[in-house]
Amino acid sequence: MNPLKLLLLVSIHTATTIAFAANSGEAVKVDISDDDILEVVRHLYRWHMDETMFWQGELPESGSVFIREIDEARDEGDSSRYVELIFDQLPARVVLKKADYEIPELNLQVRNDRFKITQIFNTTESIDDTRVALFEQRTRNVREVVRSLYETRNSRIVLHEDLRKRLALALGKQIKAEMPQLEQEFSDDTVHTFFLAPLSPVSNDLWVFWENARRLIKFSSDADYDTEAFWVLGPLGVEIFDLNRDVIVAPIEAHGRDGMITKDMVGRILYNCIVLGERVSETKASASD
Amino acid sequence: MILPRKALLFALVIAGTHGAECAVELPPAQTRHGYLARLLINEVPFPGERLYRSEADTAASMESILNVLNSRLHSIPGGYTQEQIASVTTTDVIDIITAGGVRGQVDGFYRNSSGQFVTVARVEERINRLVDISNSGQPGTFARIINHAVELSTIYVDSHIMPPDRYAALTVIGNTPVTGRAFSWMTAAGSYHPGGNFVAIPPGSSGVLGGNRFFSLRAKPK
Repeated sequence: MNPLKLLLLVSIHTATTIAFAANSGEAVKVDISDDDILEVVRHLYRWHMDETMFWQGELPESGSVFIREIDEARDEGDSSRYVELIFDQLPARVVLKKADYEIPELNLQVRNDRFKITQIFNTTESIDDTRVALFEQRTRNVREVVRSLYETRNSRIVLHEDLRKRLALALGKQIKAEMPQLEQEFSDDTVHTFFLAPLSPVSNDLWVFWENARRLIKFSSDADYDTEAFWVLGPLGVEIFDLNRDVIVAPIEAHGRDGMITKDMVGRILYNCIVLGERVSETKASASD
Repeated sequence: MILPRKALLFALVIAGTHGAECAVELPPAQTRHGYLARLLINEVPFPGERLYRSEADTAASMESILNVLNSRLHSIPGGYTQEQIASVTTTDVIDIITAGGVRGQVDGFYRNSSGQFVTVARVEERINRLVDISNSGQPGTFARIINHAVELSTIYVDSHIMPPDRYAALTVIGNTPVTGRAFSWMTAAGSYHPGGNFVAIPPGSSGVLGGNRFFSLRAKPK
């Protein structure tokens, strides 16, 4: 394990351990912990759910998550694993990956300690009797889970100072290399204000709101954000949204255009960055140190 | 196995191009095939990126993207206009790519005020970085993916030979009759959807490839 790993994380996260009741079927058990499944639900609660996705009226007594390992085609030497979660009480199908492969060109090992979310599909998918045997089923008291999510809604994982400096450097590069027109708007001693969204143990997405430039920036990678590999690979997959230009109400408005973001999603990102996240101020000079 | 004629032709042509293990040298961005290659490279995930699955998956995604561009150019289904599907009326694949400007149909690919086809700095930065990685040490996965993009683009621009369209025979998605072929793609990271008459091709029909979700069209427009 990279010695940097974990040591650099400051966790003020207070997750409650909630056990799921497992089915007694024949399905192969998947080695994803109940805590991690709860973290996936927390991720959905924070980033994807709104009142239209929430239960109407009474919360259901119980809900199940159907879990199975997916046999994705992989490159030779790639030992990554994929898991699919389907929730019967949430309109969501989530695919997670536990990366384990090498990038010889960069002499990097990309290896996750736990499964990380790669894709979330908003879908209502029922697992009928013909498919149920393919899945491991774990059942929980929904009211207990929702209460726990609510009570821990302000819990968060934040970046340690050293990782924050790495992020500042990466942001400085974005300012310099990608938006020269903006660079001219700000002097070297302009204090730039960034809001960093809380991190999740089951996601390698790192969202930042850059207030001065009204930009949302997302770094993501297969590598964990507390490893060297993330900071080598993360800038490759950076996404930037200009809040003056790229926000739409609904995708049909953009007529298939890529690179746009909905107002709803912007609202959730800003909530996570500004309300739940932390504020960081940097000058261009300090980011280059 | 008997390959369809077009697939056989494509296989023969691509087998005759330069070796996949070569170091990477991108054609200039100002050339049509160089520009197209950059689009194919920029739109797919590489090792280390969150949506990367495998080299084959990424290569298949490039081929499907090229098919979308070609379908927007040459296979507009009855009941639709090219303008409705591609936001432009043209016979030039570069116009298909650059339709809508900087934040247009393909994010970051646009024509500047002089009419030259260009990319935003972020795209060029990413591609330069990927080429640098490809040329680090022995050519490997990165080099093969980039060389595949160059091969696809060069063959398409020079000879107009396409990889087989895996969605050409689609007639129904769920209960919805569709036109066949894909006419749009978007990143599969979220629940993005182009809206309108586009219908998401399900994963079971290879609708999600290389981090992209592909969309066909309703057979009868709404």
